[in-house]
Amino acid sequence: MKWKSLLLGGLLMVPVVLSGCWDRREINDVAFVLASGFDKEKDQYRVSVQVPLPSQLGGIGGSGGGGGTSGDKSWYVESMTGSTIREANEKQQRSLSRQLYFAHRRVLLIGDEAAREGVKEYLDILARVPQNRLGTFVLITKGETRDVMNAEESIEQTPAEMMRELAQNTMRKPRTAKHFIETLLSDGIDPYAPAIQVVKTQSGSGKEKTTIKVIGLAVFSKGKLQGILNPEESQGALIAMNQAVQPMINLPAPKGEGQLSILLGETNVNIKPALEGDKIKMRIVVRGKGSLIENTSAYDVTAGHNMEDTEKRLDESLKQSLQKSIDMLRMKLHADPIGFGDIVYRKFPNEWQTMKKDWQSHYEVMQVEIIPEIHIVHTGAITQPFGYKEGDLKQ
Amino acid sequence: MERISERQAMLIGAGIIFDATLISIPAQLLGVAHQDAWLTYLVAGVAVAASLWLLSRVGSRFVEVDLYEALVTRFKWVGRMVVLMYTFFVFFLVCRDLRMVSDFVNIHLLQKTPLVVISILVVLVVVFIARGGVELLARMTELYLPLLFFVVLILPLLLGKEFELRYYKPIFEHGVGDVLEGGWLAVSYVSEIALLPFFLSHKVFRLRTGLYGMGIGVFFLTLLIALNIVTLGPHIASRFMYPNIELIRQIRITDFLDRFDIAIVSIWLPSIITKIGYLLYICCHGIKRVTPGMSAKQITTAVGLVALTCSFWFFENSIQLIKVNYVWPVVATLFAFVLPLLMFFFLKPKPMR
Repeated sequence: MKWKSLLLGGLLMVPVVLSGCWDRREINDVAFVLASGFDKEKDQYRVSVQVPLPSQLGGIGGSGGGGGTSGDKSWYVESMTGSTIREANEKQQRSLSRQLYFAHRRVLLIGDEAAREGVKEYLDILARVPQNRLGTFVLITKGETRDVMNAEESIEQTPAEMMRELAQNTMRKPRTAKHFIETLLSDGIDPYAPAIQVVKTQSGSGKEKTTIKVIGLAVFSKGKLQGILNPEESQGALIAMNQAVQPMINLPAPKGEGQLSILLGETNVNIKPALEGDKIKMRIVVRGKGSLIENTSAYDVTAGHNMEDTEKRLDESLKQSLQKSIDMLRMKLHADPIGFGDIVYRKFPNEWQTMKKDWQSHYEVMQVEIIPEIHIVHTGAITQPFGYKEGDLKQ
Repeated sequence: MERISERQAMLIGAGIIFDATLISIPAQLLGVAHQDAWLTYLVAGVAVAASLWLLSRVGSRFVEVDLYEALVTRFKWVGRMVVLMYTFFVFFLVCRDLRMVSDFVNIHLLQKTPLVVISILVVLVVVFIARGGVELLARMTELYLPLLFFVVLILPLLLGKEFELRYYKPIFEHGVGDVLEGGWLAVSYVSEIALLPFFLSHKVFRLRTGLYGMGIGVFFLTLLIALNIVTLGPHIASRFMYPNIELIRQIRITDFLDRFDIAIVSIWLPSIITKIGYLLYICCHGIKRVTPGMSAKQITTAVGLVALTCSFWFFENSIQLIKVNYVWPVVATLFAFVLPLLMFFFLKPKPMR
């Protein structure tokens, strides 16, 4: 009977050995992809990947970026074309001794020219292969993605990390690929993404290097890039989406020269739809708390009723900024990232069924009423402008 | 006769409903009912409650024995035929669930490992569990299921920042019909609790036990699908093979609590393997009832291996597992409603002379 238990023991050991072999992945046989970039060249897809070089990464605690003493980068960018994205990856794999591993890719870049043709085809591989994660940030680049990925100066160890942090800092609730795809698949709301570009640092003659800068908000419509709003234009849209991270508003001083800068620490926007016959009316209430962060004029905000007066002018400025952004989105770009269509859908689903066929025309004639209610809470650590003598202050 | 307590029976009921359903049907429910998919399990629950009532009424006529034995002793040949039908039904369930688990592991966890190897490993564990009998099944359930339920309960906290609460509106956008259709699809999985009276005597599994077990299972399933709706949104979630896995992949609380999905899957896998263990046990139990002189324990290994082969034979690819969900409610209705109804009318103890 002993041989029976030995045989059983032996047979039991077999699956234990079998189970790990195929999917075994040695850590030094893996090339972690930090960022991917998609471009289109005629009908071929160009895929660029940024891979770190482990031996150059240096010790723990070093956030010392590229351009160090030896001049060696701790990463490199590889780029190939193919008729599908997967094919381009396979071609890249042929020039890499390590397996490309996409699970740690935090940033997905799409070139603006490719995005103008349509982004739908790039998104399938994001979800189909479980190695890819929907938690990546989607960014649009002005110019080719590999130029942006090759930026020389970056405060983080790799440009991919810098792009990720930049993407996170542009919005209050950073929008990942999951949200991008969900808005793409929904009616009534369009996706949006931060737009970045490679620029030269303005460090002075001869010392310029390339770095990455956020140039605004890319808005889409029907799956295609419609345009990139610059930071001033996009501020209104971001506030309306409850996505603005501490927006700052500059007001000209009412008396004399100079500007007042007010930082809105908290903003809360509530959009309520109303239906009057066939016309939609949107009531946008913006509540916020602001603080005076800089005063380059001689105007004394604390005197008399100047605080209330400033609040009124701030409200007016905010109203104009929001109106301008919304009009630009609907008239010029025909895009709806704020999701007015979606708001109508959630509240009036029956009317939405008829409206959605021709949403653009309803969107353009939609009445927008903006009611800002900003309250300036404090003026910082000082009250009167610091550089001016008592007699020069304008009250 | 092995004994298990009522609480264990309740947990087995909850486990049978919960474990396999969460990787099989949510995507189809979301595709059919969109943002109202969270109501579908409740509809199915109401229907299955009726089935449980029927079975408990039949069971109350034969208090000491389970329904398989009651059928076989009361009607010699017809009873055996009914038991055989149920056995084939459960056998098919074993094949389906086995293939589902293997597919899941193959797609998400071990892509390069051949499907056969994964299936063999699962079958080995399932056979060992089923050989241990009801007591072992109950104890394993008591160990893993509460932990799984605890994890599901804290998911709203972990996923809170990914919520978009407007996704569940507008309610009943397409009318009640979609919800009822979703409920029809969900019945095929929720009705598996109706198998429990067949191997647990009425002393252990009463109507109360069944309803509580079903209530717990349906509650957690509804919670999960509601989380799917508000986190992923119905558009994305309905395209995934396993939306619940995508849901837990969204857990990211700063860089520290990231990539929790493997940990949660490692808590769930023993539960699904235990569930397949129940089904294999019921299957072998049924075979034992039909053929006299057979020891259920000895045939477990054989039945497990046949199920392994059949799981590859019956389903060509992972899409067929999805397609079977659309026809399965008819089969489930037969075994969870029609046959219990017939048993309610005809299965009575022999009148005492």
